[in-house]
Order: sequence, then C-alpha cells, then structure tokens
Amino acid sequence: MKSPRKFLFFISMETRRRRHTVVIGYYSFFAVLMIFRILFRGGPDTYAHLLPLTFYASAILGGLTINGPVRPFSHWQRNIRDGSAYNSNPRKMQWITLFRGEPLRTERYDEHDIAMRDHAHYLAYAALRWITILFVLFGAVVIIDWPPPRVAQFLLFLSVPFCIVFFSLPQAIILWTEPDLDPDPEEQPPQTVIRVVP
Amino acid sequence: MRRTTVLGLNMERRSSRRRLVVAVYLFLAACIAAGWFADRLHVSGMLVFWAAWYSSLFILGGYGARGLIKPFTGKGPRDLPMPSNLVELQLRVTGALDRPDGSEYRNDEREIQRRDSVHYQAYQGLMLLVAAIWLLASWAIHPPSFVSARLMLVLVNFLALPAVVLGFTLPQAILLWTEPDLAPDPEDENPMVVAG
Repeated sequence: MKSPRKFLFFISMETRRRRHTVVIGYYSFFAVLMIFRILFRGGPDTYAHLLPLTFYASAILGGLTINGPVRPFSHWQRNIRDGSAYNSNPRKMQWITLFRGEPLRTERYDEHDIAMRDHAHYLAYAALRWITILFVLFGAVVIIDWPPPRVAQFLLFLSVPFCIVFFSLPQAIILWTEPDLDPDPEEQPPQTVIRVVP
Repeated sequence: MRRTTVLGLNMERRSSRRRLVVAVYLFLAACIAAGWFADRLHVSGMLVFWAAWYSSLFILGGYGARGLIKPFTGKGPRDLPMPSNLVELQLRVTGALDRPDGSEYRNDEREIQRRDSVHYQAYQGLMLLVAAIWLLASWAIHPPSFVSARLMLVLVNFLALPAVVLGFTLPQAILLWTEPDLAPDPEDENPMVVAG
C-alpha cells in the first residue's frame, strides 16, 4: 500500500494487524455511538444527528480526502508535476505539509495501485448491492402500511449506518487486504560489507 | 461481453448498445414518474425496484448468468436454462447435452480490469448522489431559513429510489456504453477462395 502516511493518530499502519484493528475500531466506534444515542438521548429522532458525522469521519481513513492512510482515489490518475500532486497551490501544500509534519508523496500511482483501488470499489459495490436488495425485499414488507412521516423517520434511521458503510467501505477493504508495508530503506540498519577475520 | 443479441436486436455495435442503455433508463424514468404521480412511490416503488432488478438481470447482465454482459463473478449458471426447442430437450433428457462450459463465463484479465474500473466510476457517481441525499437529510434535521424540513424529506424520498435504480444498473450501463464494437466472429466471415 503506497500510503502517504504510516501513522494514523500515532497508530502505526505498517502492519496488517494494526490496520485490521483500526478498521474494526472505526466501525465499532460508530456502532457504540449509535447505540448510546438511541438509548440515552431521546430515541431515534436525535439519533439522526449522527448523519453529518458519517461523511466527515470517513476522511479519517482517507480515499475521499488527502488525509488518512489511503491515498485520494480521484487523484490516482492525475498527472503529478512539481509537487502540485493534488492540483493545488504548491504554497498551500507546503502549509499542509508543515501541519501534518511529513511531506506528501508525489510519485505517480502505478498499475497495482489503480487495480487495488478499482477492485476495492468492486467488492464494496457488490456488498452494498446485496444489503440494498435485502432491505428493499424485507424492509418494504414492514413499512408498506406505515404513514409517510413514519417511513421518513425509518429511512433517516437507516441512512446513518448506510452512509457510514458507503463512505468508508472501499478504504476499509484496502486497509484490510493490503500486506505489511515494506520497511523504509533509510531505516534499515547498515549492512556490514567488510568482515574482519582475525 | 457474452451475448450479442437482446430481444432479437443485434448488440455488436457500440451505437446499438448505447441506444439500449438510453431505452432502459427512459423506461425506468417513466416508471418512476408514473409511480410518483400515482402514490408518491409508496407501493409503486416496489414495482420500480423489480423493473430495475429484472432489467439488470435479463437485459444488461453482469449480476447473473443472463444478459449481455458476462457474470462479474466469472461463474456460470447453476442450472441449465430452459430448452429453446424440442431437439434440445430430447438431447438433454438423453444426457447427450452437457452442462455449459464454465470457460464461457470466465473473465479474462482485461474483462476483470474493465469490471473493476466501471465499478469504481459507478461508485464515485453514486457517491455524489448519496452525498446529495445525505445533505438533504441533514437539512431535514436542521432546516435552513429559506426552505422547510418537509420539502427536504420529500426530496429525500424522491431521490432515494433513483439512487437504488442507478445502483443496480450503472456499472453495466457504463460498460455497455464504453466498450468498442465487437469484432465479427471469424467463423461467420466468408472463407477464402483458393485459386486452383
């Protein structure tokens, strides 16, 4: 995984086990948040306030933004020139670099990166397709006799977990399936070239 | 692609496939409009969903063993399709007709790469639509001063079913729209005449 960042909130992302932990923790956090919101904050009505959080939280994993361990999806086919990798003002990118504490990687994406991105989106699409089919088949039987305000409330209730998964599933698949990152050559211990034999 | 005809129409040319895609979406848009004016898609929404699903299965293909596009999973049908004539039925009963060759449904590297690429493009397009629905739903919770929450909910209900319809058909539509004209079958070409 050619990630611009090897750390996510001080969590190392170099090993697959760490990335699995991050993905599980990400979805567990939202599951617990939804349960608490329902149980202790007045019911499903106030639960829908989680909706705006779903998009912004997906930026944690990357893909949709320049933040996060997964590189931005839409820039995987852009031309990268002179540091303006994200088609932004280079001076602005310098400030972002200073804020993040490490420079943004500007090398072009290779075929493996693009194939990995596309395959993750295919898997996410297929999974969400089945979820939608099951909901329409079984959910319609339940809500068909409901009045429209209750239907709207139910759709708002379901939109939160759907948006949580929809905005983050490709990134989660990439983080879950990529192997351990190769160690940085600069960090490897120097190899002994000359061996002194007494 | 696996099949080259649908409803008796030849789909080897890209222009024919594009007309098919436009026709499918016009049909589904008409169903949505009719359902909206009938009962605000309350019950008719299910009929639109079935129309989109069957269009995806039997016309466009991809998700299923039928349709123009090979199954995205690369797997053939579990059961043999219904025999199209009595001769085929008799051959099948006697065991002379074997199951379809699995290699017919297997995707090669180029098809897998195209499959994944169109799914990425469809996902990005649907993300814009889902983001719009998300924004409308957020405004329904905290409506701005210039619009009412009820209108936001109406718009959410209006956009949700088209999003589902696009979700079932968009990757296949992109694939059928962008694939070049199919090369003619070499067996159908006139044999070379060797001068004696």
